[in-house]
Amino acid sequence: MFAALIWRPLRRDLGRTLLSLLAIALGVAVVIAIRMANRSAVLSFQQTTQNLAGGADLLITGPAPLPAELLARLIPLSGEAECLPYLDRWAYDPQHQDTLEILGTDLLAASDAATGPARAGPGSGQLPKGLLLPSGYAAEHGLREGDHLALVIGGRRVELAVAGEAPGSLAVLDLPEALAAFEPQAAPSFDGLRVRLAPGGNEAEVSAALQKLIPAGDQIAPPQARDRQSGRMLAAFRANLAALSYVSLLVGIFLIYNTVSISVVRRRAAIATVRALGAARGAVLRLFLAEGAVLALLGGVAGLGLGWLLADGALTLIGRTVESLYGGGRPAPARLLPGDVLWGLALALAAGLLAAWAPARQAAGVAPAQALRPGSAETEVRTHTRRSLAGAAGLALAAAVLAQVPAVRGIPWAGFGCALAAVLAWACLTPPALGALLPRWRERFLRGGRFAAGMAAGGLAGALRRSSILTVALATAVGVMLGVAIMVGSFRQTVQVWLGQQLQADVFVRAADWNRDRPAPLAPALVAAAGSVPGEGALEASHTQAWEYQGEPITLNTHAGQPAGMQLYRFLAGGPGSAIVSEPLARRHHWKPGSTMELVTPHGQARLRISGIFYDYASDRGLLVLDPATFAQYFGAPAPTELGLYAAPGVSTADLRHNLSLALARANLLAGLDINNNAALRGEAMRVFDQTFRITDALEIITLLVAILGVANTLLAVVLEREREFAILRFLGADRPRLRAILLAESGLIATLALGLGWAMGLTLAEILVRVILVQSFGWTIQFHYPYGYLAAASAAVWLATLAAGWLPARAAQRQNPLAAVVAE
Amino acid sequence: MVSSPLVARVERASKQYGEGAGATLALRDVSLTIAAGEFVAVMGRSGCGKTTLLNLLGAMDTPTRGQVWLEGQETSRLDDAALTALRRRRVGFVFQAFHLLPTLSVEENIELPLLLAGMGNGRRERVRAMVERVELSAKLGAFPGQLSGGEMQRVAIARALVHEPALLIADEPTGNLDSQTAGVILDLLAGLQRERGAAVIMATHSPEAAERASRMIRLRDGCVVEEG
Repeated sequence: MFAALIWRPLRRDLGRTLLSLLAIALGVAVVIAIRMANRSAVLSFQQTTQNLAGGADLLITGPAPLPAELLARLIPLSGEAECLPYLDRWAYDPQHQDTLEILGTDLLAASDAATGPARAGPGSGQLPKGLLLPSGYAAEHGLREGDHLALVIGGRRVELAVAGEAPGSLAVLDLPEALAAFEPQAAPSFDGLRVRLAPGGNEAEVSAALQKLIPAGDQIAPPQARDRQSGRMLAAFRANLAALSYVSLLVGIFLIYNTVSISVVRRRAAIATVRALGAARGAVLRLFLAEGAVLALLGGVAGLGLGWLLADGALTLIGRTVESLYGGGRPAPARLLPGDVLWGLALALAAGLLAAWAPARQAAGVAPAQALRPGSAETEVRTHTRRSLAGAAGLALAAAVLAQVPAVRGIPWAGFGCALAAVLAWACLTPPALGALLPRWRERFLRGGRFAAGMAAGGLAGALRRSSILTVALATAVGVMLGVAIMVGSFRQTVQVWLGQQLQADVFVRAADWNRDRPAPLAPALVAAAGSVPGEGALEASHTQAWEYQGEPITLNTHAGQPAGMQLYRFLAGGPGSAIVSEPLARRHHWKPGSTMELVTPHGQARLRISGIFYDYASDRGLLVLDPATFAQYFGAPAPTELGLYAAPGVSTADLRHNLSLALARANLLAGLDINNNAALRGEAMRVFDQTFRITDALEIITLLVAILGVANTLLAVVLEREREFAILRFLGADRPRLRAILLAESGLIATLALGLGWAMGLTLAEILVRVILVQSFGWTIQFHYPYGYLAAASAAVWLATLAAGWLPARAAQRQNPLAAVVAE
Repeated sequence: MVSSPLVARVERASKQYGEGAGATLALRDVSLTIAAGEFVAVMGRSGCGKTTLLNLLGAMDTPTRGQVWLEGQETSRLDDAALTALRRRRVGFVFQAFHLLPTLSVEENIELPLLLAGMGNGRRERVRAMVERVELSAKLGAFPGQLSGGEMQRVAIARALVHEPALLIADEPTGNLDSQTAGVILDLLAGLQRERGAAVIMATHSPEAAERASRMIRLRDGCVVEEG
């Protein structure tokens, strides 16, 4: 029975079956690709940890570099544990315009995961002299042993020989060489210590003993703790991407519903026949559930392959964003694991069964006598208006409640639930709305002599459930696209305004290897030279460094020298003072103006009163800004990491920049610097911003593609299902172009309805994204800004694409043989 | 050219489906004429070629050999668009299975030929008059699924005649109806035919139905075996 009722029809309508499979495959592919790419992004952090740890049992790290004297203090514990210092720094490779994370470690002592069997050429067994490059980096830039790399380190040019390759994601340099490269003048200090327990050593005891010897604020923890921290840092970003990836699967579910639903309508007579011959309702139900499952599983298998192909592209986009926002190394290649295969197939199967449930029940409920009556055809003009309205109200209420529920560990689960409930609430309103609109449109169009439009509205009204589902599927894709576009447009505009306030100097100077985690201080001579550039009105010196608050990384900043009265921050609450914090940091710790924070500093515990909370969109990590006096009290004199030069009245930015370059070149200080004018820096910031959302663009386009494939698929089915109707029209004198016009009008009406509903969904989703999900995920409040041009262009593109989706079915309708269709009846 | 009183003329027409060994000759060398106002019944067993003949006369198909003239135009010489236009203006169809469009109301189903003809003013009035004539005024806004078989066939007859065709083609119009309803439908068909002066050609198995016709043609294996 499965072969006769399900398998053969699927094979007979191969084109339509393949379209269904493609839609499901794309839905599964997106989920799998994002899952693989997300995992690789996390793995890049884990791999870095693994490289840093080098097999150690514990890592000692602190908010500030660890002084070399600490090693002497740890000597009493040498019988129980071995402590090996390391450096973890970034360098800029100007030749290849790439950055390189370098691990400085004692290669003589380290035979570990970072250096592995260091391949140092023919003299293997000897200590490699020079830089061991990660194989990926070496391959990407065609670097070989013996080549020389001119890197920018701390704003200086440092030439290093390539000594070989290092496994893992970090470049490796022997510790003395690393210290010479990174800290040429300063007293030696390290970024961390690897602690290896002696055989039989007790981790807890050693840890407790070490804790007494290290400076307050420094941490001892197993390497896995670092992974957990990076996991937490990335959690919201990954969850948001994953949530977006599931939208295409949701659209896929609507389309499987439609495919099975159409199967039921088309095979109504066959179902009635097998029911009349004694098949039980349960058997029919199982048959159509099986159709959903078969379609979903075949689509799922194809989706796994497609997902594997898409994963590299997704990883490239995600990797860049993660690197920009969170640091982290080069992501490992995306790998398809057995868990992904199982997850993809399980998702596909669940989606297939869920989607097929309602049509399968409809099939089981076919009354044989009625269905076998000559001339009978199923029409669904009934709607359960009250039930739909009650459902919509319930879901809207659920959305409102979920919007109030806070995030769990930084992931806005309830926010996602809120968005889903809102989409479903609109979906519930669709059948009654279409039930009211379409018959009126049919009457109005036919009364006005608009034959094709009237027939199209009648056709859609006659299959109301299917029309509603198709509209909802397309509207969901449109709604997500518009909602995200409004969110991104608002975010972009907010960031632009913020950048305008934040970046007010005309020319900016920083080391070319500037890195938010460890920005290199600028040489005092450079600061002095910059202070006396002709045409300069004011010099703003800013110091930024990484710090920790309660074990979580934060960014610490202080600055001075901006023109009097200039306000660099826009305050959400409170105002300027000795300590102000960014919105994400304040939200994480529930601070308000007047709250106090206890900060561990090099000069002891600081009790800081927060005077204001300001908008900041540089990172969700959190920014603490201290006034110069407070900073100096707890951290010592700040060493500027960035300079901002303001042009004197009448001096152009170009002249100021030229004068600065000239002055620095004369003082031989120009090499290794990054000098930008205001516009270039803002442009770069917006480039990074746009790059961040390229992955969401890609996901939205795929979701739309799935929905539009669904339109083509459904209309193709409509052509087959309404073959008799089209044949009658041919008998009555409708020519082929008129049949084509009916199909195109149907796709046009679906597009119009879906756009209307999609806009409603989009505006709702934008509210939820901006007011709930963005705030809960990243702690950012943004101002609404509607990118009208983009929204209009996107809507027009969707309308045209949907209309185009009707072209193939329209051609199929034209080719039908009316005589055969009527004879078959 | 065919003289004006003739609505349709078939001249040694044959129709073959398929080719080679699988070919079927559905109609062989059939010749007949249908004059305006004539009611012709076509009888014969299933598969004898009745529907094929009706399709040729209704410009739904063209003969493989021979000629068919409809309203003075030889159908084989017309392309698909011209055949469609001819059908739209001059032919009405009534089917055994009614073939109403389920998504349109009674009124809209009847209105279809006028919409297709691009008729503007007076369309509604003409439909209402037709609905009254077939006694379905109370069902104007109903959908086919809400009608009985007899009512559906009355709607189909109204649809077939609303645009005042020269030729009405009825393929087993009472085949799905009980004898009483069939009688009513045949009365209606005959009455309307007389009122409007359209020629009717009706395929039927039923001798009772054939008795209403002014002329009867019997087909066997695609050939006319009796005419009178």
